[in-house]
Amino acid sequence: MSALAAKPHSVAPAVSDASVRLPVLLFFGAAVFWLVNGALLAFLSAWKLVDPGFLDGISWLTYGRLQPAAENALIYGWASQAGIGAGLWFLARLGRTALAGHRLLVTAAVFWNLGVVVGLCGIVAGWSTGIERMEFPGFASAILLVAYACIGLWTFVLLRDRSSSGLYVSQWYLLAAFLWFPWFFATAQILLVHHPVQGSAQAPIAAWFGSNLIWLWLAPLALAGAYYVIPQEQGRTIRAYPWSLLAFWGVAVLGGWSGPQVYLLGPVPAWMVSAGVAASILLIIPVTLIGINTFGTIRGPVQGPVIAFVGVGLACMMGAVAQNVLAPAITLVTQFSDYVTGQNVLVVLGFITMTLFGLLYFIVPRLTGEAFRPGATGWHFWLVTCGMATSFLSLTVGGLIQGFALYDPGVTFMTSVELAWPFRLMSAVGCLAFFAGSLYFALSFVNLLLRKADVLPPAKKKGATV
Amino acid sequence: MNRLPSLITGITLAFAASWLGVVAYSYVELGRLEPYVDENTGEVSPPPLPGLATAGQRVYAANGCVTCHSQQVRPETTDVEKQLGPRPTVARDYLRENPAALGKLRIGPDLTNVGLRITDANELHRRLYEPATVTPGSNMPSYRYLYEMRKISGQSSGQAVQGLTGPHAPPPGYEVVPTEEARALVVYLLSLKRNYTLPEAEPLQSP
Repeated sequence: MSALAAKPHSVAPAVSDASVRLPVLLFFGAAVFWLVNGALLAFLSAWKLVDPGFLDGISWLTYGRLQPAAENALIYGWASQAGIGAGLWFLARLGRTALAGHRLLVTAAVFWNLGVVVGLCGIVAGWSTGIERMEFPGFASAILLVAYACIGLWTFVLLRDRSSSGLYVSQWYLLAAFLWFPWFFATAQILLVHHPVQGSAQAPIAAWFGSNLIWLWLAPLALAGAYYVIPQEQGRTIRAYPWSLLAFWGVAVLGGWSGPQVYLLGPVPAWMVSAGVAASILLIIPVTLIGINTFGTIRGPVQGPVIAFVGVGLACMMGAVAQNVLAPAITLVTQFSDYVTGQNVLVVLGFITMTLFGLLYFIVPRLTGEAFRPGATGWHFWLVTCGMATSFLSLTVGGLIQGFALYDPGVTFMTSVELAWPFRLMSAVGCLAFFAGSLYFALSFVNLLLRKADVLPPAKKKGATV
Repeated sequence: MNRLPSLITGITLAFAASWLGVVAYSYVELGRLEPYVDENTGEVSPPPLPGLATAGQRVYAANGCVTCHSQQVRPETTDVEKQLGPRPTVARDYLRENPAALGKLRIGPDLTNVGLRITDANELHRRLYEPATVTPGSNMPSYRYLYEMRKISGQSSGQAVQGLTGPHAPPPGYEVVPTEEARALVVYLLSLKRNYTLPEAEPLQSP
């Protein structure tokens, strides 16, 4: 990162850390809280598919409310907040700048979480909008947007006030994510929830929103972190760095277009679906470049949780895009089957969540000057990795079998349900392991904070130097 | 591109492309689709929804029916052969849907034409109240929270659900009456019929 030649008035890492410590830890703490809750809800809803009598007949625990609640808790509660917290810290560090004050950010964090609480309560209380990943009732999404306005403003101030010349690729991703999120979130909210367009136009917009949420929001946040922590951990610069900028533009251009591919053969304009299929296949190019950048920089045996988690996360990203490449050949069978859910697990729990875990393992010790207990990270890693992989693999295999049953005119619908059952059971077991791992991580996170009870006001001693 | 303004311009342009292509196009082209009126018969397609069905759409959305049930019949697949509907669906079929619940999964059967397969309201109420009893092995949850168990005082209500036999069937002297939400949901489900023709859609196939 020779591009980041420091200007005279640049601040020391300890000062920039201290300036963002409270808001970043607040975002992380809340994120971990929602991770545990989201993982628990995900397990409960997975179990309901296996044993429909479980907690049956209770309005706020019905599958159709619990499952969206789990998704939204993981996306808006966990992944978004972990990504925002990490992004703020990276911007302060990379810009060698300090936040002028953290009151606005702390308020924003509180409001964001208020939005998540209201949204989740809204879903289970029966005010869900019924639009995937936008199930929060309109007023909850409005709270999120207001909270976001403060966050987005500060990220821009951090970038503008940077004392390092030049911009590193992590800053590109963060700037882009923080610009894109309010744009697509507000667009979709207005057109689908607040002033809904007529039904015929809703599906493409909803699909566009779905792919943006991953590729133009959570993925850039995760990738920004990966590009920062890998060279730091490995003590060398990113391999083939110029390619990372090409990859950035690839994700930027293709991410938004890839959405409509979910409606292959569906009632949306054929050219739009074709564009969606093409974009989701072409994503393999930037993703391969990112793979070369990141895995090309990792050499030698993996030591410590940061590289392990980020490595699994990035491998899942490449796997998910490889599935996109395969899609045209198998969609006729896999569409509407558990295979689709499996790919979702690979993206949200694999790619995004695993990468974010790695970022938290990198940032939290540096912010607090306390290390995670080495024993705890091993349990966490294996439980969540095996849980995610079990769920993904069983849904993928089960989805293929279920998909053939759904496709075959000679097979009844109930047969497809029976065939999918054992795989859904395996997936639920995977979700349980993932929940256990998440809980383990939450406990070791709280343990670390308790050991560092004097973390506020700004600690003078510093962890690892970066 | 290593300066903030030019980077922001590039980021904006990259995003604006899909924003215009997918969102603005959908808004302008699909958002202005109008119902098809047959010049000879005056028949409007898709037909207007009964008033209660609009409320039923909200119940459908609020309870997450779309997490398990799709509402799409695809061309070039076995969907029509599997009798999910007399023809593949097109964009105009969703004109009156809000939200348009196309769905991504078939954990439960497709409901595009459930109103053609099931025409009796009581049958739908039974399936919502005790799905596992009506269809053994079904993993559909019970929506009995949308119903009220009432003691029959004097004459039984004309709206009571008939033929319940499962573990939550009303004991003697009691009856199960759908709430307003349940009735709206059933009216909506009964309205799901794509058995009209549209010029851009494939012709209807008889089952």
